[in-house]
Amino acid sequence: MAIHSVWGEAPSWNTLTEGLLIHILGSSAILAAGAFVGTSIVGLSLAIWVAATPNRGKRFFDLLFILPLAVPPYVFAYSYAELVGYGGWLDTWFGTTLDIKNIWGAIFVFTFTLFPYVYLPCRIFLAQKSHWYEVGSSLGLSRYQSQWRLIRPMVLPVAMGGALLAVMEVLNDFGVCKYFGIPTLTVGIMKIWTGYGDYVSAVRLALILMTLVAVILILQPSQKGNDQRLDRTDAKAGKYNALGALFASLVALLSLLLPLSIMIKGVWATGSRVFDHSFALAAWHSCSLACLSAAIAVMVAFAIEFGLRHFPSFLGRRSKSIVLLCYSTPGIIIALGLLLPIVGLDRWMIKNQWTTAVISQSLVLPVLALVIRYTSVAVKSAESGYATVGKHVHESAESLGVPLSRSVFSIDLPLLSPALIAGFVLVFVDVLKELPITMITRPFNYDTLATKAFFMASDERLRESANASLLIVMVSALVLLLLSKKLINGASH
Amino acid sequence: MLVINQVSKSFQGPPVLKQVDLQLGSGQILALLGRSGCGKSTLLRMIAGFDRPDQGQISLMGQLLVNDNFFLVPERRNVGFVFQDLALFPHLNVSENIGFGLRDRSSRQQKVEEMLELFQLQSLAGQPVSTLSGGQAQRVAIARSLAINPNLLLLDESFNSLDRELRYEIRQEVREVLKKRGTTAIFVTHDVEDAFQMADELAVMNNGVIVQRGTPAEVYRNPINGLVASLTGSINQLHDGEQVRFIRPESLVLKSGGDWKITNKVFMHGYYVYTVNRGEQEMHCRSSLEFSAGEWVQMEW
Repeated sequence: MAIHSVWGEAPSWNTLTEGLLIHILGSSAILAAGAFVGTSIVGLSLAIWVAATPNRGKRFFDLLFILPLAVPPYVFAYSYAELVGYGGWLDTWFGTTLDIKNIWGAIFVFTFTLFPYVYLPCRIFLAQKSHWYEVGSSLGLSRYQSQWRLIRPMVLPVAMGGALLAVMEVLNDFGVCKYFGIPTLTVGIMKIWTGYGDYVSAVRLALILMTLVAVILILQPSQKGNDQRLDRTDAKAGKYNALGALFASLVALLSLLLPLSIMIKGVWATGSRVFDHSFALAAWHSCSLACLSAAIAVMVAFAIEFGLRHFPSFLGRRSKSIVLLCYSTPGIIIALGLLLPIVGLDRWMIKNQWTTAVISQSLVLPVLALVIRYTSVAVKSAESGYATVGKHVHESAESLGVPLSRSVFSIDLPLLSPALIAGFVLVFVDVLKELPITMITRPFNYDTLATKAFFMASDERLRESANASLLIVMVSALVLLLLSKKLINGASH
Repeated sequence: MLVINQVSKSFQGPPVLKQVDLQLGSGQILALLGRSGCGKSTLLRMIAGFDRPDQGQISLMGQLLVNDNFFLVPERRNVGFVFQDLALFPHLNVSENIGFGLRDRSSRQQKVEEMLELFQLQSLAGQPVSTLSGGQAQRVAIARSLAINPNLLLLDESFNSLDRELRYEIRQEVREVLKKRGTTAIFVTHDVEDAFQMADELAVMNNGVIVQRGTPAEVYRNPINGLVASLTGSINQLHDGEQVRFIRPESLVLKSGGDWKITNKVFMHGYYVYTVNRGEQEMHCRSSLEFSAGEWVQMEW
């Protein structure tokens, strides 16, 4: 990509640099800053409030505030567009409409879908540090003084880390910004490439995007050595605070109840029309693509972790770092980076009459791109699985005369199977929700639930799009609920 | 039976083992005693084959395990190893853990039952290992290692997680089992009680070398230096000109009237521990006789 960006011909580049690029960078920056502030405020406030609630309620609130992770931002955006647009509930009940298809609307969408990125690490952190309240009170500080003088300085870097992750998701987003008509880098890349056919300019924009992501990665505060476990029986059980409860209810309403109600209403109204052969096919495509990608990602993850456990090496550790870095790389960049060599290979094979079929029109490309992007999720899961397996278990097997070739089946796989299954499911859900990679790399006419929802929403068939959206949300939510303990314990993802 | 010849090892720094020589006869139990970082666990891991020496040779029952040109992988050594964290397989129950290393399916069940009976674990056979108490888990780990009939059993600080009372009981039980089966064993510990109760011989390590070896009584009574003396129990150092004498507190006899003053008195289990001073010199002694703090006494040994 870098070579292409320097030597390739870029017909649209001059137009871009004459003002459009500044506009694109400006709106990307505002959006990123807005999402950073929004997710920080909502996520951190909720985490502090839940940390201070009675222990019995914590499990419920933790579940409630990680569930928005099941709602992809583009699905959330379509629901709100339906809610506040013509014929929506706002129009029906109050006789007015609201234009949310602007940058502020997008900030609202990202805030209420991505705040769990801040909430979860802050909750884990606050639960670990609950004894600081006691330290504060022993030094004569009230609970609020302890919160302000002791907890706040400690939790802020954690919140910042989470908010920066949310910003990376914003930079990776295509669905919301395209639908709201916000010219961000990702939308710009897609438009220049698919609209103008200018691959080189698209690659140059992608490199700018990658640089921004690299800066964010450098800014990420290190969480090394932090034992990420959430003990819900905090030493100091608090009481419900009315203002906090009101705020938490409002967040739950805006992030979950309203969008879900809109989707259910859409399905109710259009379900009979939409559930046809093409919908079933899209569901099958989504499922098969997600299964295939998740299975390969888990196999790669197991190979990496197994290798590192038994044959630790510098090369192995670096390879793992690269795999982990891929999760931070926007999907559109991975897709662009893969497309060029694969299409080149296609052309070369056709030219040499090796084949008439083309790789770029098969599932190879999307699966490869999705595996590259999401293997890190499976790696993290396998890593957490191995973390629970004592260091001496393998040496113990060796001392009992069992070689590695046997203990991989009798020790590693059985012990790791829960973590590998969790990794599979997490990758499955990520792929199910994924949009930009699928959009770019899918074979011709290969619709998934995500692309179906996107295209229907683009045609302003918002109610119809709710069917695919709700199915994605339901599967994701189910998985989140099943894995909630693991997620809340911070062991994965 | 076990012959260790000039074994050295370093891990990117000063040597952890310096040309260690050690020989151990069949059926003997040896305790490797020493402070943290003295190289005792490293030596154990070399014998098991988990780490490879930089130089030197180890052989067991006439079979070469490792030298400069040869390395026998751990799974072919038939050396049992019991780790400090026990390393029980959490996905297997008690019986499955014990039978894990047994290849012969026809005799596996019989062997497992034999081990269950030996360690009185019959009632726990089907239980997941996560439900076991510390002592039960300890027994399972040792039973698992003994089930394969190892030529040598190695125990790396294996009793650390147990409380004092249980520790005594398990040590006694393990020693009886090892002796009954004639199993040769080396165990690493920094606890002198472990060493005295279980071992036929002690080897005291310091800075990567074995500084003294002998029966527990020999090492206790005739420590070659202050370190060995302090590792094997409480000790007084009496400076007599250039010479330093090591005297155990129980070897001192206190009598009323003299030039030593009692400066502290602590009641222990059935006896008193007195701190007595004469000028700069301070000594500790044990006595069943009662003296008062501040009283003047004389000391004999």
